[in-house]
Amino acid sequence: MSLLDIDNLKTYYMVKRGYVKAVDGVSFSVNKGEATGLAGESGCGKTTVAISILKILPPGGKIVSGHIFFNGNDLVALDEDTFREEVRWKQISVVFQGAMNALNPLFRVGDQIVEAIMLHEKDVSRKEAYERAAKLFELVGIPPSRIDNYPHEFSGGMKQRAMIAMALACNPSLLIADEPSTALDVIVAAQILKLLKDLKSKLGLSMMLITHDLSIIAEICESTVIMYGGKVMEYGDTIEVFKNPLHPYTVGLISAFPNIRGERTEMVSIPGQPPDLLEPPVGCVFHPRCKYAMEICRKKEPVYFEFKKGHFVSCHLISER
Amino acid sequence: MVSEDLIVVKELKKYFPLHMGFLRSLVSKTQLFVRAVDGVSFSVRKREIFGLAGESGSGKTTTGRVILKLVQPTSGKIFVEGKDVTTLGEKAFKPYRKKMQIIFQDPYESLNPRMIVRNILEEPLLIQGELGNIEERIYRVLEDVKLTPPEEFLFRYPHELSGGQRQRVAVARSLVLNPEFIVADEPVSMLDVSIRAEVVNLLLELKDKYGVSFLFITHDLALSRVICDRLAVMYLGKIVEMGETERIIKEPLHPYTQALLEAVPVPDPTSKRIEVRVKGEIPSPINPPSGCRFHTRCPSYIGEICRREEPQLMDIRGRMVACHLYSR
Repeated sequence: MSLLDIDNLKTYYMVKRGYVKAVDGVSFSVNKGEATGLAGESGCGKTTVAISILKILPPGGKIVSGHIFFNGNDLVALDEDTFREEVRWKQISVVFQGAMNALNPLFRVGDQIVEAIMLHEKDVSRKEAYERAAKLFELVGIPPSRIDNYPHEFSGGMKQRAMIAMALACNPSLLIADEPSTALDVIVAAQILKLLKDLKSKLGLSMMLITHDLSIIAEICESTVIMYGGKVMEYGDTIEVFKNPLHPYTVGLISAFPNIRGERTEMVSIPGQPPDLLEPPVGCVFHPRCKYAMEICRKKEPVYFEFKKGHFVSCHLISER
Repeated sequence: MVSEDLIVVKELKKYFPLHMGFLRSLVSKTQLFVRAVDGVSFSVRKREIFGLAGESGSGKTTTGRVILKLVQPTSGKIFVEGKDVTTLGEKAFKPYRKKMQIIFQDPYESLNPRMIVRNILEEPLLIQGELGNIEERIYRVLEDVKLTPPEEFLFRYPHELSGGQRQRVAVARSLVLNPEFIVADEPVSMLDVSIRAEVVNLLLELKDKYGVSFLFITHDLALSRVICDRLAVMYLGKIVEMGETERIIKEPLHPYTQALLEAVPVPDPTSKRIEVRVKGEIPSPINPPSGCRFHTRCPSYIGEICRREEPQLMDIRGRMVACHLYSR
């Protein structure tokens, strides 16, 4: 059963020189109780997908077309008031990149969580909210006695845990985590990943995990979306995508990662740079960096199609086969 | 083959005095220090990439800076090709600067935004008074870092370059004086995945081509496995394990190294999952724990001795380890 269905989403940013096609025809789903990982390099549009779902696009950004179905309802069509009252934080919440710096240094951590609860659930008293915040602290592995501390008294990992607690404050069914462990040290990052995994199974939480690090997706997510230049290159079951990658970009990304276990392998680079999304390449967005690029790749954009059950790809090499 | 030591560091320490407020400094009798590096000894051989790994706050960057004398060590000795340079003044050290260069972490910060690539690469030559064949040397070094054709890049400003290209300019700058030793401080951690591999392979190639030795500072053990011949793992200003990289990765002995390795996620959904047996985060280097500094977080804590006595580096199974588990 899918909880979130994104159907041909296009989000553009208007700038002086034209439109930046940050998300340009993206489709994938997040199943109930499962995690979907969104991977890609910086500027591939993965964060824009997240803020489109939450409808918090900066000025100039606009969902041009497409649908975001959440429990069957189209969020794109929903007006801002209803969205804020019924969906944001209660149904879908988010932990942003560098969330450790998202806490207000002037307020106690517990009070910030209480504020989030009371803003979204009007009938909850301060005392109830406070008790809930203490329970949330416990859930994410911070001693509830620390509830009255200020952010500067927390370490980086604890701040990230507090942000996760805040995201869970109103029992959302979908948690979007944007690079949740990027700025943290190896061991602390592993602790946070472990926590997310535990929460997923304990609360039956669905997750969308955005990261540039494929190994984090391999660790947590049931399905994987590989994005490049605002488009989905490949999407499918994580094991399938990692073991039988179809798209040359996926193959490239996987071999660009050094592995700590098993035999020592060389890192293989993908020559060239990500595309300029103001003027994306004609045809397949990846063709200037693709070593298999054919004539047709320079002319015609490949269609995104289901190659095998549940395994989607957008590449002429595969559709020609 | 006998490999010679190029850089030797002995019992190196760097304490940074802690600034206290005026009132507190009146009351407090003792000056507090941040013990960033607290007695490390190692050597970097010729034509070798020596890795320094550890979490942030472990002192790896400070070690790199102290070796280049960008900060003065508190105590300990630094030898370059057998000569003690620890107390040399800036003027006497200048010839050594030519041999020892650095690549910084962030190519967005380390290049002067007002200088074109040509000037960035020319500056080290001018400072060192190497005025011959400037043009030729700049061309060659740009070709070496694969910014080709060089004339396309000579007159560009850093903002006109991508992250990977900038980092290659930074590498070119460190190479233009034909150094023998380069400190590479997390040179790829700011780069995108697909570009990271390119810069890593470039460094490996340069090592072979120029015979440059590197001190490679990283928090990424998977990366150090690809790059480093030998590795030292640091924790709170001390080396806890040191030896051949592959040996350490295959069979880590120190509990901290084990913890670091277990925490690295693997890009393979069917392999073993990450494990986190270690609790908490790295303690403050102002008041590091007594005895073994890792004892507060250690999953293999064996008792009193860990708290009381500081373990010394010992040769165990072909590498150096500082842990009481192996001292008996």
